[in-house]
Amino acid sequence: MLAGGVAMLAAAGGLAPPLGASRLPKREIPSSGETIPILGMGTWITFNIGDNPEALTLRVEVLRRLLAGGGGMVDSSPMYGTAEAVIGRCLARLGSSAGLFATTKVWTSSESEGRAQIDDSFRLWGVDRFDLFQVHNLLGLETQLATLRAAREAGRIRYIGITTSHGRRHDDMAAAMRRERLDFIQFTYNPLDREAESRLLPLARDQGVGVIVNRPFRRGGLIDLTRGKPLPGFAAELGAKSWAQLILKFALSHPAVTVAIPATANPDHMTENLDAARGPLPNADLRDRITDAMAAL
Amino acid sequence: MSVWFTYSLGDFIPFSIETYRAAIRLYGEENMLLCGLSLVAGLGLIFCARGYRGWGLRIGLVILAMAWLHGGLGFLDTRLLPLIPQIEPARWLFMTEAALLLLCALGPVGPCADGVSASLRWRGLLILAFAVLNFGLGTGIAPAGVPIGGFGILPDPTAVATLAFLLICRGWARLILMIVPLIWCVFALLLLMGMDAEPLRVAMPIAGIACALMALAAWVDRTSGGSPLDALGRSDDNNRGGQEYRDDKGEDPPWN
Repeated sequence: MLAGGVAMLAAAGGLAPPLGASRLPKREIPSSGETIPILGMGTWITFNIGDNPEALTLRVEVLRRLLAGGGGMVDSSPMYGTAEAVIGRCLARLGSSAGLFATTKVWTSSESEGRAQIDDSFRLWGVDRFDLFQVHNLLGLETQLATLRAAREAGRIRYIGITTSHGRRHDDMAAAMRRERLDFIQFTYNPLDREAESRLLPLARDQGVGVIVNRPFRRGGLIDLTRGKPLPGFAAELGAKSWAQLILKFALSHPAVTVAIPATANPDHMTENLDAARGPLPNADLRDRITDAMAAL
Repeated sequence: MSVWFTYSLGDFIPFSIETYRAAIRLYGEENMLLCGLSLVAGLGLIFCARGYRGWGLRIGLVILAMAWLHGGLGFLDTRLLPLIPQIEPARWLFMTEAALLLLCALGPVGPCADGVSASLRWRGLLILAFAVLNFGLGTGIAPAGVPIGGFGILPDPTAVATLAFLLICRGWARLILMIVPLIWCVFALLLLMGMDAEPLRVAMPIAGIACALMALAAWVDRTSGGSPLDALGRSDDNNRGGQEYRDDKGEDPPWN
């Protein structure tokens, strides 16, 4: 597989979309009206590879496929070890960041460390401007939001957000959404983690805040759960050829969701994710049926 | 319910087992000479552990100190900390352990293994051999034929070898020296379990933790005259009670 990935890379040039691929749908960022592709990519674990050259080659291909396929958001954090540095190396290898929606986080309660982390992120990614900077897990929220606002005024970043995951701290996130002017919130949403539907997703719509969905596959746990299990009949209605596509379509289908950022180290999985995002998405009834089908496994 | 209960072990591990294996392999390939030297040093450590007192055990402590220094400044610094910078304090713990081992090796009262039960001694030697001869637990053999990822290279086998070596010694000083390797073994166990590592690799820190528990049980036995092992019927015939180990003044020297 690695050899295949290297060969693909050798053959690949630039970021031209694959022949026959339709455009990836876009959604509006409520605070600005700008539209961004509904599919992005997270980098937790998958891009923390140190300086392993073989692994880097595969990540370059993953990122190439995302950008060539019309995807945009790449999300990282200083908490993710070498992930930011690896993204920077991937972008350098690609030679182009066209279409990239550069997104990372600040992860500390200290103001000075926060500033240092922000500077490090610029250096590691090799970008002049970040599209989105978020406060990771609401850590040092007030302090870091002040720093990020100053960075936005200086033109270094465009949007500001806050994150959580695993369905935690929804109360704190909702309170912050009411208190602060935010462009994005990020949390976990998938067929078996639907708590956000009761409060955060409606609140995001009301407040005009963009929503980033992390862990749509529960870090692969949902894929493990469905492995070897037959797809439900209604998957064909949605054009889903795998459980992974069905699960991703679920996350993307909520009208308040702006973008989903599944992480992968496998270029073929990236292609599969892009295909899922291009096809039809489930309505509320089908979303319930997806949840029921998975809960029954 | 506390929010902490909603986490799984894997949620705290920022890299995959594949990345961990690759880090070991790459480090080994870049440091083949050191891998070879470490294997020789490990075999030397087993040889030193055969004795009951004197220079052999002192040299064993020096070998362990060097292994901790290399483990702390080598693999940890160059391969593991970039992947998981949150464990940066481990670097200083490794330095402390190396300094303590050197201090004990060069101190006026050398380590002593007299009077340690035969069964404890054999367990220690077996675990020491496991830590030294594991050949990287399947991580591989470098092109030059040198096993990579073993004692003196990775913190895990280094910690386990230290605990096993100290198990065959006696006295309270060994318990002090066991603190850092025990902390590392507990961390390594959680790390490997969180990454769903292969059972043989997970067995390494478990062996280290077992060494520490056996040493603690023997120390309790020695100081109180009764051991949790007695209750389990596993107390050794050679265990002759704590007073046997005390010196004439009733004091409790570090290695006696």
